[in-house]
Amino acid sequence: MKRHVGIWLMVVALFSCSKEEQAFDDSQKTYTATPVSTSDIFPMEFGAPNLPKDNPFTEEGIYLGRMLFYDPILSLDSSVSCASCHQQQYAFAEPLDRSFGIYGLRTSRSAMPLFNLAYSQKFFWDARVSSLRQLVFEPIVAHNEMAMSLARLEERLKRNKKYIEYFNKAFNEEPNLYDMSLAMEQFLLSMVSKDSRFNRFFPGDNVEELNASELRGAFIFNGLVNFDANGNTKGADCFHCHGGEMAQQQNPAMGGIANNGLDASPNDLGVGGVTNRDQDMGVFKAPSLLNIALTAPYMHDGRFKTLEEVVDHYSDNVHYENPTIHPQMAAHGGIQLNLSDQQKTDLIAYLRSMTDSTFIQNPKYANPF
Amino acid sequence: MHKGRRLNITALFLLFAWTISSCEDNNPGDGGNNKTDDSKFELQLSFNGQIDNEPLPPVGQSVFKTKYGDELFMITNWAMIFSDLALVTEDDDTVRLGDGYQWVDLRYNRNKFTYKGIPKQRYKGIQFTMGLDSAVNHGDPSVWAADHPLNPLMNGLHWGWSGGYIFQAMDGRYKVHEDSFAYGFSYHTATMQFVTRYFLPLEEDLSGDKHHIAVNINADRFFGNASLNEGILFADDPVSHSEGDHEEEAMRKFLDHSLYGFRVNLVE
Repeated sequence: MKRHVGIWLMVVALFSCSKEEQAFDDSQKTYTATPVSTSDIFPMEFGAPNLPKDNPFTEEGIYLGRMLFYDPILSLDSSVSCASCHQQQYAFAEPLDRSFGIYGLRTSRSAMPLFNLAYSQKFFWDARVSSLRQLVFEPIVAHNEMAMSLARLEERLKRNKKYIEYFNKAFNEEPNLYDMSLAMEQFLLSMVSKDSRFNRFFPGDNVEELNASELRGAFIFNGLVNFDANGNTKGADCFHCHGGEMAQQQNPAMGGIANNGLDASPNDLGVGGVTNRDQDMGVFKAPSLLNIALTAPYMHDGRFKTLEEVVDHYSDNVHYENPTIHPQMAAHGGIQLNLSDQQKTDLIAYLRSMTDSTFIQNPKYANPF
Repeated sequence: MHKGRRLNITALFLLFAWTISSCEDNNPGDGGNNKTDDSKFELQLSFNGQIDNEPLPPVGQSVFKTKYGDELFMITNWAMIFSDLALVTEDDDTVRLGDGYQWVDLRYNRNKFTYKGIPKQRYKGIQFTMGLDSAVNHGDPSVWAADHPLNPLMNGLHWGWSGGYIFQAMDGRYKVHEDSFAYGFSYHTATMQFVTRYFLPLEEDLSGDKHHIAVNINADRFFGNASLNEGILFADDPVSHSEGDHEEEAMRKFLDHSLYGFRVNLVE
């Protein structure tokens, strides 16, 4: 009897082994991932981005990154994915001042939009991270976002058939955290927004792309502050921090991170909370203004619900007394711009021309599940 | 038998040694030639931002220093774009350094550069132009490689809207006296009329063992000379973006004074 039990156990063990082996054998096929040329992703007119040299784009890598971006299994209770707070219809931001993580916990800042990240040198509102492969881990482990332990996540991925298959296809590896970060980096880098009317207009060659109000707004946006005898200025000098084809200064030192005078003294330390330097207190990354009409509410804390409120701030309510306000804003002698109603209307019209409706409908960035 | 084995071992050793030496000769990066060329040297070139002949304080430790007119100022950002960067020989020939372009960020330590393969000979100076020729300045900025000094994504020094680069950007804060409010100042050099050439004489010979040129750039000199009682007051001219009559005049003064701001301090 005992011998029979032993034989049965061996038979069961053999079957289970062969089953495991069957699955393992399938995953052990060697794949050659399909290379994707960077020229197929990044538009010539934006210039050459400084891409990571050790993470070449492949169709399988980008797709795997997209799967992971949309998959809630990255969170502890499988309720929150990256896409929960970064929604395509809002240019991968969301219409909340602060996001909801697992168990209804709130984040401390609003979700930043995600596009054209290949051109950025620093990430997050407080510019604390310099690479996307590093960035992806932060929300995963944050207690108020996904609250996931990395060891548990790796185990979860390793047990998942579709990830066994796709990690193998992308990297010829079983699921692991390093390749996960590379795949997500590929997907995030591949998200390019370039088809707004503003982009067709830029750098001012195709005036027919804009209507009269938008064109006037362009001159206000790109004009320097210069008060006339009546105290009026034709320019609002938005371009120093939000200039160029991507409506964003990429060099942190040249206005890519700045204090824009939201408060007399900072409630949120911003970059200063990372560096602990006096000059960085209340300083934040200046976001791209592409798709700005889609990404309300505005600022790191979502305090402004509309573009009208944003323009009112820069026109009438800047706290010039803030000791870390960007020098170029403080160079106006602490005088509010006092833009006219017409100037504000034109400026907002110009900002609305920066919406790229093809980006928010592009199936390459949509939920793959 | 023993002798034959010894010969075999010797032959194997020689083959191994030859293989190793062949590998060294084919080392990528040195063009397959590892020999030292005694007729050339490697130049170290550094640009060092200063105020009142002292190094700019590290980022985060800026302090107010006195400038012309007893105003106090501190610098938060200071960057430049150079072209035609070259050594000048005794015969007035030039040896271009790299492709002659460089982006220098004095505040964030992008200020030390190495140039290989410089011919050993007597050089009387170093030259560079703050700014670019018209074709490059108004050309398509997207043509530059990701790591090229003129890539606007890296240097952040392209105007975009009106075309052309910012050749020099100095931003910071100033006080008219110790207890006053700290306003901002901003001097951005641009447009072809403000392209400025510099020549700095080298008093020591580079052809020997001294291969490091240190160029000190003194910020306070850009605003005037206290001893001559002539200069720029931030209270009057806190901003110049090189456009408009008043700002153009301020920029012209700024650049005239800048000629006294550069000095070769060290050749070692």
